[in-house]
Amino acid sequence: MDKQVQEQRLRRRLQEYAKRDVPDNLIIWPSIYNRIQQQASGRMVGQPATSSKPTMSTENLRPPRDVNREPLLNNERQRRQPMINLGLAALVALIMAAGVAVFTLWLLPQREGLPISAPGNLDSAYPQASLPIQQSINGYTVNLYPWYAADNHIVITYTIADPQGNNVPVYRSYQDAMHVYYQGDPTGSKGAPKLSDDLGRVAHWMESRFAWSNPSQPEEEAPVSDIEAHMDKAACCLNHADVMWLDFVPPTDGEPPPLRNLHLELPVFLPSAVLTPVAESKSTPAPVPTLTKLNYGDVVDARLIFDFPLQSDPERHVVQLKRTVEAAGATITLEKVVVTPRDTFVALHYGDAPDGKPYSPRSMELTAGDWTSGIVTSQDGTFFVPPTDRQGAWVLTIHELYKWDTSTDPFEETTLSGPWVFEFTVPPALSTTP
Amino acid sequence: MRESEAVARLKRGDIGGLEALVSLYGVRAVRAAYLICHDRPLSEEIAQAAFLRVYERIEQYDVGRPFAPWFLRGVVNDARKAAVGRERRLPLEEIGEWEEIASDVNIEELALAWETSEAIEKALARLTPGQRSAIVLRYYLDLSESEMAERLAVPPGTVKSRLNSARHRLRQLLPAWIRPGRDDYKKEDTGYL
Repeated sequence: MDKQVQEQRLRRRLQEYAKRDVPDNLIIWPSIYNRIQQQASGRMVGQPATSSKPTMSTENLRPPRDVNREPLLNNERQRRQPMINLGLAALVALIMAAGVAVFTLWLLPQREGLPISAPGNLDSAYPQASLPIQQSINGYTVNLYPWYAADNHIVITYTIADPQGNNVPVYRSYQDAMHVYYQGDPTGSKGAPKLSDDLGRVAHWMESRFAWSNPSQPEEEAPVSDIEAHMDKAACCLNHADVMWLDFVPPTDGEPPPLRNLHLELPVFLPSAVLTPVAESKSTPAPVPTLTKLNYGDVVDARLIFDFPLQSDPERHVVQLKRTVEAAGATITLEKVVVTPRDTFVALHYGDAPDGKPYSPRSMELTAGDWTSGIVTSQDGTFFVPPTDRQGAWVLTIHELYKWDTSTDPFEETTLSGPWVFEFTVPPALSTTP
Repeated sequence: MRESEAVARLKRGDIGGLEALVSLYGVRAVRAAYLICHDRPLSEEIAQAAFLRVYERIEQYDVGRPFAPWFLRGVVNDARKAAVGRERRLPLEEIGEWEEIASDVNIEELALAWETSEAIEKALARLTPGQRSAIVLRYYLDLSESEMAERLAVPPGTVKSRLNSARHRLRQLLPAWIRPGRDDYKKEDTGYL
């Protein structure tokens, strides 16, 4: 058989295999659209017009849970029905593992919060990498590194080192009737991470933004993450392999004082399943690898508690505006402008539209002194204004709003053309409300 | 809507451009990722994340270059990274599958079953993520070796070497199907499939 024929057959088989498991009628656009909307809603934009609240509650920030999995699982279920028994067996195994872990961890101290002194300016202090807060469990060491905080974001990084001192990644199982999926996700049977302060206020964990780095493998690129952009100053942490990042959004209702004394409940979940190939043989064909079984003794499934103080960013200042502009029958309110050393955030509320439906911004533009963003598609209201232009006359222009009717096929788009223009002055930081 | 029009619309801030790109390349992206990760939810996640990245970074895209290879190369890279991370801690479900392969499937039977897509599924599962990526770029996405080198930003020799090792492994796994041609008898391990 010549090379060309072989390659043709390989191409055909690859296509058949891919087509068998990923059908032509697969639709992923709604999930992508939802994720875009979700990112936007994390910053107050795209709020339903019917809402009477000028700011978004943490409930509204909660992303839809696994919305893109359901049609897939149904499809998988049809195709791989025989896998159900295997999935159930895996489920039973996992429950047993969790039981062993709970029994093992019962005797161990679970609360060893060690407060450390907080940096004065978080942005500039972040790369300095002060010592981590440490806790140990079952021979593993959890290192909680300094955190990044700016308005609407608190990023906490941590590593988990195994007894040999090597950082290990966290994987979590998603279970359904057929499969146990492992993905980067810190939650085990102990629930999601929870960050609160001494006033009992709870920040919302951005579940979809959990990520980890892996610089131990040079051929791999930098971690792909929604929060990668926020971590550009995190030189301390990116030098480590398998750094996990948690991204929280503090409650934004009203103007509460910043979160200060933080209380972090951190799930730590470490299932260990190790593939151990047999020694490579020179025989042809090569021997089939064998596996070691799950080592249940290595499983850690716990919820550690860290208490530490967090100073507010002294350079953060908020300019309250509450200005409403109407165009094309729709109103937009610029609630406030928040300036931090990291970025600039314009908090917008999208009010009544002619059809009473929620709209989202398609494009906006910010001019701050001599600096302009140009027309950007960013919907979250974050701009990176240079420090020299963070005061003075600013102009924010929203050019167009749009919405999709996802009940139609194809989706029907409606747009509203503005512009909605806000002209305002950002005073120097010292004269503004902290 | 054509690709160039979709990209132009997206660059203007029109999310409809992204939707058009998703309809043009969404399934292909999921399939390419799936061939590398063997995990449908993860593959969809990778494709979605890649489109979100396009949405966020379309400003950086050079319209003078074809979109599909640029985009799909990113998908393949992400899938490879995901597969590397995933296989360092093997999922329970896969352990089951591997054990099944180890205990029940004779390599000769696997070879004889080549005519089914199941055979290539199992053969691919034995390749490293890097080898799978090379096979997918070359034989599923139809990139030439020089295009692969350009897209992966590695020397052509590296691409050739990765492809050779992947093909050599496939030949080991599927000897009945990938029987060497006449030329192969003269040059052992030339990298022919």
